[in-house]
Amino acid sequence: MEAILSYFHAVYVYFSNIIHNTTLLEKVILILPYLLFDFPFAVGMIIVLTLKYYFGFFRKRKANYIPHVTTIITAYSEGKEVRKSIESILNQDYPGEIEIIVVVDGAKRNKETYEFAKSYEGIYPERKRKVLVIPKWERGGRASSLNLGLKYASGEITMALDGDTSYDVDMVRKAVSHFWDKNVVAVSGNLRIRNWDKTLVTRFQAIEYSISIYMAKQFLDAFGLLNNVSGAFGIFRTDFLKSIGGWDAGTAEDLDLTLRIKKYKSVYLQVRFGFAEDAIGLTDGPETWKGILKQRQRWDGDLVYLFFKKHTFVFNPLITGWKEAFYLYYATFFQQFLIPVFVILYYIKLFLKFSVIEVSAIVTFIYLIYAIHTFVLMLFFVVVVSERKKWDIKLLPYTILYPIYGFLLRLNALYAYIDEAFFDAHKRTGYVPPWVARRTKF
Amino acid sequence: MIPVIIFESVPSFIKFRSNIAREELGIQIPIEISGFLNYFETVYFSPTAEEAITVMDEKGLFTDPHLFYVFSDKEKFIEDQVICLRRHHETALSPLFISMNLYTNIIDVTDGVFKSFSENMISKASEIWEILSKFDPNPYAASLPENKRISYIRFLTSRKLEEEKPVLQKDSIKGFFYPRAYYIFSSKEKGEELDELENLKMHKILESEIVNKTSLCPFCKYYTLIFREVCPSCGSVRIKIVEFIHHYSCGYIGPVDEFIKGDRLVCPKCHEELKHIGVDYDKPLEKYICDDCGARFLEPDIDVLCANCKKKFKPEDVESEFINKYFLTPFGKMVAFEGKLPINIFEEVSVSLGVINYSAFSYILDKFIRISERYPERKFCVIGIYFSIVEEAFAEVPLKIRTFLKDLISIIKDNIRSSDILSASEDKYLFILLPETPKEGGIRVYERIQSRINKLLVKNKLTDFIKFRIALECSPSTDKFSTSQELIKAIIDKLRS
Repeated sequence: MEAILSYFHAVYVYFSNIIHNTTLLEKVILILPYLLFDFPFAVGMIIVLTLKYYFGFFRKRKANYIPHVTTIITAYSEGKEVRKSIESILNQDYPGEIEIIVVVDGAKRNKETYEFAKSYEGIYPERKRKVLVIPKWERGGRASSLNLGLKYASGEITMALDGDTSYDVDMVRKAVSHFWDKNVVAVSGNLRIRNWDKTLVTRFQAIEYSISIYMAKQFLDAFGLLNNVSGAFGIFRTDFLKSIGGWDAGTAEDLDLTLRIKKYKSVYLQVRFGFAEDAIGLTDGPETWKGILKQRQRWDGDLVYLFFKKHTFVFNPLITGWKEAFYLYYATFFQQFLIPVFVILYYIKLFLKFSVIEVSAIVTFIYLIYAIHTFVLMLFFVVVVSERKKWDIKLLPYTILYPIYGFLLRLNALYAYIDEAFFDAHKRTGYVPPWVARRTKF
Repeated sequence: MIPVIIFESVPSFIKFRSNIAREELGIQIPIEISGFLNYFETVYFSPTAEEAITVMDEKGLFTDPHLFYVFSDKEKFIEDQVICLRRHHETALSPLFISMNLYTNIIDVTDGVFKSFSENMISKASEIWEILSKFDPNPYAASLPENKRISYIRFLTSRKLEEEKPVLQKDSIKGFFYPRAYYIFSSKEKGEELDELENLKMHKILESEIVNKTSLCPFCKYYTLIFREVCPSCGSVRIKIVEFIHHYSCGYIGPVDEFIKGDRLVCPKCHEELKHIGVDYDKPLEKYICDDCGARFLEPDIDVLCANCKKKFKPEDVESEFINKYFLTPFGKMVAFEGKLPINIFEEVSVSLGVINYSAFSYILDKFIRISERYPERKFCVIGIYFSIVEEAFAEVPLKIRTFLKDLISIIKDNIRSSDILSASEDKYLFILLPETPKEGGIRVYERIQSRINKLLVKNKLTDFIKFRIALECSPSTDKFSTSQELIKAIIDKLRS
């Protein structure tokens, strides 16, 4: 016991030594990865969002635009949870017509999901809603479900929604208001965590979504650099979606489609897409560590698959343009691939140079920097950005622990990259049935 | 063949001979008839169908084969002429052609659309006349409905039409009508012709097959029904559905209206915004509210309003009726050729035998029983005859049945005296009272009729189709009959055994 206490004391002494007795340069060197990548992004975000929320910069002009809307809800093994999704669309305050197409993948196996969805099928004339349930008896993956739904879509706007996500009452109205501009072809909706107060893991996810979706996407969108049209929540102009042939079979169809849109955009310059922070969907995040790590391995692995195996063109500035390419190199290539590698190597180097106590002190210091970073961003989020301040204020204490989550996820990402790069992990994630995965081209 | 052209521009019914130049008519006829004149010596022109019918009737032209050709570019004109021709008994079956396509069902009672005269048209008319010439003359007076019935089945037969299908029609009383029946029967309203078709079906001339169903007003039998959701307490249609919202965090429940603030949902109790169904709130129920009486209810009543008679009633009172398609039976085809409608086979036989009213017969028979009681030497006999024809017989051997019925009548007539009294009852028993006839005489008559008819049945191989029985009672019998009823009952029992 005494040994442990004296150990912590030593760490503390060394830590205060770092604070008081190091030069600025030395401090900079210690937190170099942070200063290079996370810090400028956070500062930029705070500046841009302050300008947006307080001074009205970067605000998009919206108009009252009420076209016929189709929502494709892809369902799989949600069971009765699919009702939340359907009900939230049925109860939209949108004054126009909404066609709700529920595609149940593998309906033979997911009989329960199909039965629950089926009970909603019909026409609701007084609400101007129509529900159509399409059972896909054999499983074919989400892309095939979306493509099937797209076949039936009669609306001017098509929304790709998920059976485990439900939507705010004004979601459709807010999302559609972006499309008054004929050049807007795709808008990404804003996803938040519905079960945020369930476990520590879901609270961390709620913080993560607030920062990296709610705020980061607005920041990127301000410069026209949106990097992903969410799969659980993407909104498209139907004829445009049909003209690019819908979704490709395979995994991570959402990001895949985004990259294909970017390719299209490089040819049709006037085409725009963006982020609708006020069109909000709530989704259930994994509640366990095991769950979250598995989910992220799939997502991160897919990133490698899409960027390096399928859409290598995105790194060619002659195709995507310099601004886009620079962002991709920075945000994707560096932040997503190089930082985890860099961070690991950096700390291995530190570990070799210093004693265990010294390393502990340095790690504590760095940890503190990240904790303050998260706290400040979250505080800013609660005060300036959040539309559910009552929820988000309760997340503030957890920002102190958040760096643990962040670091674990980065390690996890590194593992996923290696797995994907060398072992084609995306073909066995179980997200796409193996017989479909084998036939995809990449 | 006499061609009659209905052409609006001619002044009156005129004969057009081959040797007269077209100009002599003084009007421009845009019809090329020179080729046509190779076939016919004369062509008639008439400004209207009505005039054509009047003149042709006067001149006795209907006995000759003829055809009508309505030549016009006005749809309405063509329709009127076709209807006029088909409704008249003389022209109901005449070959009838028109010069332009009609997009109404009137086209079903014409024989085709021809832009000009052609050999096709003439050969088609000849084909129809070939069949028409085989028909016996229609024996019914033009004013009788039987005349129309014969015309209708003859129209189907001569045009080789297999069936009459119902056509959806919004101005029909049933929502459906039968174009050929409607025009030939000259029914007042579309849909009324159905009664005639059902009548023919009853007489086994037509058969039917269900193809659809209609719903009719129980009062006026029109199909014009309006279904409405109404308040169960006052019957008003001014009801609206109201959804109720349940706010999770404060537990307040109230109609949606209370929550609406601009384009947001705000709880009226705690003033919190409701953003997300399932997370902030749910909608536990829906209720109807009546604007008139204020009643609140979960399910509205349904009531029905008839747009024709303006009466209101419940959905369960709505009469639903099957809609059939009809086709001629083989028996129906036979009737078409013979021109005689079998109102009722038994009735036909009894009428030609000269039966008297059954109650009068019963009265007379009573008197005979009284007389024989007082004067036992004054004897009499009563013969009972029963026959029935199985339904298939009309379809399978209709002509044999006809001949049998004629023979049956003549056999009975041969064996009775003018003093004998005949009657019938229950549409299946025939009674012959033989006055002043002892038992031996009665048995002779009885045996003669029985053997001749049985021979006839065997000879014509009709034993499977026709059931024939004969019975005899004589006075004084071993049983004492004190009334005619007892006697008749004894005969019927014998006929049944």
